Amino acid sequence: MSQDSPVEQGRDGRRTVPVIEISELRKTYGTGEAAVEAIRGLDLVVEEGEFLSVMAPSGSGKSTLMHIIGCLDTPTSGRYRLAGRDVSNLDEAELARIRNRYIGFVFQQFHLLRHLTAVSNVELPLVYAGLNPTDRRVRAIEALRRVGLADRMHHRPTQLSGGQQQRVAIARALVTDPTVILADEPTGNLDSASSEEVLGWFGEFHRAGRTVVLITHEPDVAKVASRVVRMRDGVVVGDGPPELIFVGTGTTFAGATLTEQPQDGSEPSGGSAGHR
Amino acid sequence: MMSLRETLRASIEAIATHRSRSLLTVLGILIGIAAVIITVGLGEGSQAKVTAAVSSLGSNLLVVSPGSSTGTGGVRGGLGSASTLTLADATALASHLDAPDISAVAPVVQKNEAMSAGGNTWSAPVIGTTPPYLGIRSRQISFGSFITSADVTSANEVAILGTEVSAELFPGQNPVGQTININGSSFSVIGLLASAGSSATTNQDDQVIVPITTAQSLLVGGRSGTSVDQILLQAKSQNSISAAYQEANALLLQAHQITTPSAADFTITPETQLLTTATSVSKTLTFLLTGIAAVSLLVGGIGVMNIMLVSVTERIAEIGLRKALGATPRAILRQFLTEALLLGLAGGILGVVLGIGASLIVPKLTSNPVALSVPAIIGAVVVAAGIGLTFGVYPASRAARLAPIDALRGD
Repeated sequence: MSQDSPVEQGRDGRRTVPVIEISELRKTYGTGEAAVEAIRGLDLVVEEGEFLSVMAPSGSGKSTLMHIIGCLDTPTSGRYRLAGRDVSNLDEAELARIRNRYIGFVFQQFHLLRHLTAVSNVELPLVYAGLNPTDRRVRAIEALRRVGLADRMHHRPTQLSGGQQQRVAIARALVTDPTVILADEPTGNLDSASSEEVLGWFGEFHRAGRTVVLITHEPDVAKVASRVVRMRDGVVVGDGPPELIFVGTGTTFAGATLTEQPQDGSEPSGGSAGHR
Repeated sequence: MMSLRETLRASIEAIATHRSRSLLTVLGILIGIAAVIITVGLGEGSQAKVTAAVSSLGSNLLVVSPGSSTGTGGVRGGLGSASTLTLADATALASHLDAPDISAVAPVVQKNEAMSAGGNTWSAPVIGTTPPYLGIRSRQISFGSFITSADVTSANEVAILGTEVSAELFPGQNPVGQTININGSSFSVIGLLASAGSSATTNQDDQVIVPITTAQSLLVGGRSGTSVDQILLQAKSQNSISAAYQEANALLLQAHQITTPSAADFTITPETQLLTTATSVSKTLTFLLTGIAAVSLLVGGIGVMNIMLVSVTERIAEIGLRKALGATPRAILRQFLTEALLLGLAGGILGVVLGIGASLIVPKLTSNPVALSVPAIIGAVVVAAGIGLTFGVYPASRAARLAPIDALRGD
């Protein structure tokens, strides 16, 4: 697992522009007296190829951060660069194109369309990318094959188990070859066996050189990543490899605010991506 | 960018997924369109019927009636109440020198009479007139001959029967050469009128025609021997109706020694006026019915909007997901507009089918003819699609405006 130090080098071995570069990010909901500041000056840099988990209790601005990273929402102030491009102030249509090109979403509720087959669900992002039907089908089948569901491609979501549905969703996230795979509580609706399997896939993608951002409130999920960012009340309160963040019980916060950049050569703990 | 084909496919998928809801939406439009087609068809049908009925009374016709239509002072009686028209008036009007635009004149007296032949009795209007009557009224003789000038001059007791009278008095026989008894006088039947059907007001086959002089002396008791009920005039052509009217008016004013035209003791009514009145009535009716049908179409359109709004609400998660995966607001707008358009179009086409079906059945159940016009059908389909599109704009723009995060939170 020596490739698990992706900070210094991109897939081709050169140092690259950070995939995610967030500085002084603020997000306020409402105005005046009723204003709620969900994110209060957050800085975060994610390099290409990192496997990062953002761990935060609910109500700590976790969802807001996920929405902003996923270009589903825009910050009130601060700057967000995605793959070197400033996306802080884009309009809806431009954000849609950015999402389509750079982000692969995996949601807690899978969000598959019930009336479409697995392969059609996987094809959806390619439809909006403007790909022709033949290429779409080829790529969707390939993505389903990667998650081991090629034989179920004509099944509808209701004919698949929860774990299988999430794998279809993962295939859908992969099919556009996105810059970032952004997973929001991907195991929230799954039993432990399926959860392990799904987390295993993220580990696989990480080892294949992909950037994965996993957002969760569960320490057991968060620690599969090679870097854990703890968030509380809209700011980052801890950042480092899981073995430093989870000291002792693995569920209590270590307290120390660690360096902003993950340390070189940090190996993920034994639990991470260990589903071969 | 999503292609039109993709959008269409996604819309058809969505419609097919919510089959029963789509069907109910379509139903509103369907009924509206069918109602419009039937009412427009009924209106056009009845208009055609009225036109045909009026023109069957005779072409380029003017009717002179005694009495004034302008009299309000109580001095003169109402239309047709006075017997101020005489045979002399008819003769004057027939003068080609004084009235060059009048091609034919037929004075008419009319009375309902009891009649019998053999053991059969019947009662029908008896019309006393002169030979031009046949041409003015556009009637045909199917057997025998019509009255001649000689019949009029010598007041011969001859009669021409309508088909219905003939059927009553001489069932299954040719009446020509037989004798009938009207009001105590014997008339020999010299002709049978070809059937002309019913006009708007009278059954033209339930009549007996006799020479006017005979009618005046034998049938129309009490009255002055020369007064007539009506004088029918035929103008030379459609274009000379107005001129014929002027000539008749001037001649009669002079004959009656009336100097102020407003004091005329007769009224001349062109047939065109009759036609205009009749068609305007049926036009008003059609307009009214079409209005009601249009309202039902509007209600159908609101139904589309309603269902589309429900659909948007129900599919918030789908919209959010599509947006997250890269659907632009425009792509979402197009998808929902296409859905609304397809629903409207389906309703329009099915409505046309129902409308055509109904317009084939309605004439069989009632006597009302239904005219189907191709432009109306094409128009109906276009309007239905337009309604779908129009009432789809609001739900579709709501869907397009949904923030993806709100939409994804949907479930």
